[in-house]
Amino acid sequence: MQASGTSSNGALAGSPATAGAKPGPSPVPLLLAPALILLLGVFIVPLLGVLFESVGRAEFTVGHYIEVFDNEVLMRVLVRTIVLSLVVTAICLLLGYPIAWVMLLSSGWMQRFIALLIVLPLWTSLLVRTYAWMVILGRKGLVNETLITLGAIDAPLTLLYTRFSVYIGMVHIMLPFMVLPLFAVMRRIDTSLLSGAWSLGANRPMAFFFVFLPLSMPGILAGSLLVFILSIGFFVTPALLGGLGDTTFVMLIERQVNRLGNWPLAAAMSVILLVATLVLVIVYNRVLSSRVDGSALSTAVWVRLMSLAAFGSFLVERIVDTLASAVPRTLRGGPRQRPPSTFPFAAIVAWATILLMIFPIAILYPLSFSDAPYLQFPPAEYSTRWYENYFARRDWVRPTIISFEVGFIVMIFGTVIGTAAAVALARGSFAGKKLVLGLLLSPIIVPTIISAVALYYVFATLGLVGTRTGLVLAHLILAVPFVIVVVASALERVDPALEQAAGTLGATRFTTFRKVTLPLIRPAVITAALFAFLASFDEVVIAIFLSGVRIKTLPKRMWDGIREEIDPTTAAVAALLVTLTVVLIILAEVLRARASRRGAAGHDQFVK
Amino acid sequence: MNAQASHHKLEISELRKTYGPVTAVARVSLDVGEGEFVTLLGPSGSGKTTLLMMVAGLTWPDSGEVRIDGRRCTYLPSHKRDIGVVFQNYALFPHLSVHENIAFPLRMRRMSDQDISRKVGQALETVRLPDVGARETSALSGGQQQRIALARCIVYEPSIILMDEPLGALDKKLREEMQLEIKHLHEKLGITVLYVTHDQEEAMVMSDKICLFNEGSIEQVGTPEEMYFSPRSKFAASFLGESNILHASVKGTRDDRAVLDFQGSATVEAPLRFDVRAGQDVAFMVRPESIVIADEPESGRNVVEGVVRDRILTGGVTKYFVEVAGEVTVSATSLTMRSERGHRPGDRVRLDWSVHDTVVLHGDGAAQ
Repeated sequence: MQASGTSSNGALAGSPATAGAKPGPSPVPLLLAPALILLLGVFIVPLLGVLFESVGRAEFTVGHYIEVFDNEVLMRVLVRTIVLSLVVTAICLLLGYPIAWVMLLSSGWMQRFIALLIVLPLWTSLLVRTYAWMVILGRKGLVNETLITLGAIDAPLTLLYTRFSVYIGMVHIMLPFMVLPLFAVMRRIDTSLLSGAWSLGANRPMAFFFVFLPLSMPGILAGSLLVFILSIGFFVTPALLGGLGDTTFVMLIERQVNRLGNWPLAAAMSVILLVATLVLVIVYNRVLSSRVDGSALSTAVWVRLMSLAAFGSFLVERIVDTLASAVPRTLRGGPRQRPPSTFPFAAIVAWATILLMIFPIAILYPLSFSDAPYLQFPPAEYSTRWYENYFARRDWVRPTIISFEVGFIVMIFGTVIGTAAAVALARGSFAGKKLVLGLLLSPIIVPTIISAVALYYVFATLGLVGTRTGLVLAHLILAVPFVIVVVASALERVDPALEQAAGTLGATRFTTFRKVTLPLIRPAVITAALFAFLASFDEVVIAIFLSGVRIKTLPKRMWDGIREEIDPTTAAVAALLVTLTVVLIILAEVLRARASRRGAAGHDQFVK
Repeated sequence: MNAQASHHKLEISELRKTYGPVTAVARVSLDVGEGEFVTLLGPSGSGKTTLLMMVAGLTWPDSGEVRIDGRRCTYLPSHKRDIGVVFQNYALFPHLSVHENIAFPLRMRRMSDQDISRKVGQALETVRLPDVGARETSALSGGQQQRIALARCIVYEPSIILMDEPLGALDKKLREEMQLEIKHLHEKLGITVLYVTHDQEEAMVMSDKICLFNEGSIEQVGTPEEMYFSPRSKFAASFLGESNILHASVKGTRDDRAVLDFQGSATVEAPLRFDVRAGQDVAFMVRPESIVIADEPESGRNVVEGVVRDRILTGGVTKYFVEVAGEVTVSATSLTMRSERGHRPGDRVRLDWSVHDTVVLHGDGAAQ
């Protein structure tokens, strides 16, 4: 935070509003410069490098693209990847909609609690979550052991390294990306519209299908597109949980680079994936920015469609009514004399899913305290030997230290650079603002493996592979967008009138930022710093490409461990990582709650 | 019981609703007759909206009963009640066109497309917006949205139409226009309306019957005239219209009049509305417009002397604030006249008003 103030120092103080003189130079370029330079150097140039590689470095050719489209195996994998992503999206929608709905109906602390349960898995290392599923679904995993103990099966089922385990692992990771946009849209729906529909003669299912569902359509589209985009380029989970028949497109890219060294082909494949992703992102933005198209959805066609959907529930209700009317009137005491209870179907689905999201993370704890030299649940005997093993072994401790080093540097620089850019984006007015924002955020939406391939391509020639500098630069690209999003949204909630007031009271722009703006957005900046740290600390794909023999991060070490070792040291490390994340998240939440209490009080004073 | 019940369109008996320790509605009973326009009037938080929501089936009561057309429907879901609700924010569906919004209740009732377009057309005619069917609801002005909400309600001819502060979001001029329009619609269609508002003027303009709410209970029910000229309590007297609430002690009764001692400075007579005994402290009300500032008081009227403290020209009427009996300020209004000699602050004047305009109020007579 201190640092972010200092960085903006030059920019803001460099524009004194001298009386009568022309307004000083806009601080916008200076505030944006670090983020844009970083983006250009570590993201755009490497991607252009990949683009050039794909069309032939010396002489223009589309041959590598033709090679991709002619290759039957590649095409089959591409289709499979798309189908896989579609299925994951559909499952996420079916499970995520009830969760968002239940969240909407809950109030106050309950809503925050569910939100926390949804966000928590999002910030625990995805490597850890994937590993947990390996433990649960393995031949000697929790599911098989339980079923055998119960006598339901004789021989272990093959659950791991199947399409099934890929679906489970991916849904687990993608679900928050479905729930959050859904909830954001649902929250804007005026619930009195449902009361309106009921009073106009719609029963609950009809009111849902005719009113709520169409109004939540933008959320459905946004969530589905987001999950689909992320699934298409998703590497870690399918790679660890899938079998030979579950290879995805990005896994083939990794193989072309790391095993076959076929750079031109890998580059062409990356560009294809990148273009596909960008097209989807553009569609996504269209969906988010367009209002619900009433005329398109609301015509008789839509009404017929929804009638059909509501008809089933309508029938059921009729049957229930008929049955109820068969009961003697004396028993019923006239029409229902008790308030009807709502059917908790949605709540059951939602809570079961939420539990399923938390469960794999929780299971790591007992597992890591096992005394057995292999993964066993429940452990026959408990010990701390795997924790001791972790702290005793240099090949675990050294990557841990490097991860912390890289994470801290990324946190500090990422927060400063991102906050400066957020201030420029939230407060400045300049042409192409949307474009700049889009560019700055693009690293989180571009499949990480493409960034990783591109960086590897450039860093190899610069000797940055296997160095801390290389890892820091690469992770900064991922961390800065998070900082921008969090800080900019906080800045939007700060009333610009407060800053103008400070100005009229005699404060310079920089003093205003330091004394008024920064205190108001401090909790967001802290949260942003935390996210920046975690973005680096949990990152695995780039680490796989950019780590060297001596300089590797903890996630890269775990990646190796998961593939090559079976001893529960990995479980111990995973449990420690989860603990660290939980502590950091709760810390951020506490700071946020405290600040918002204070902020709310201050705000009320202004309103009243 | 049932035979008697059939006289009323809506019967509310002993309805009660609490939220934790807060009693929103306390054992309220109210009947609404066929074709009546009944207004629930009261300050915010007095329970009027909660009562409306319980009649609508959007909130469940703790105890008591709601009957619509003699049919018990206390816990019947909204859509089975044959009611229409006009919400404060109109609750127009943003994803549907104006036409589809009005068609919604008809589609829910599985009406044929032909009948639907005919009825929607009629409803739009009724609210005098025949040409907006194809529009988006968001393209309409506040007043137009209000009319569409109304049209959506009358199109399926529900037994009762419930309106929850439907004009609250409109500006003053439009609100007054819509008050008359709703009133005319009510007369023309003969519909039964239960209407919620906190605006006493609106209640007076529109209602056949006003039901005044205070802290979850009904304070008084009556026609606008009854409510204005014979409020039961201090609350009723001060909530509807402007009033002077004064305190006095009872000297005795004469014929059918109560004789009151007003602060030891004057004797005031009032029609006897209920039993009082000598020595009892009572509160009584006089409307400012009933008070005349006169030089020569007429006999047989109540007279009090005082000093003019303030004179305010508000437009059509001029307000006087007159200090009487030491420190009580009484307000009196008279029509503004150009030639008026006018009483200036500091002048000693006599206030007089008819015995019949003196209303003794129920409840604690002590000054609050």
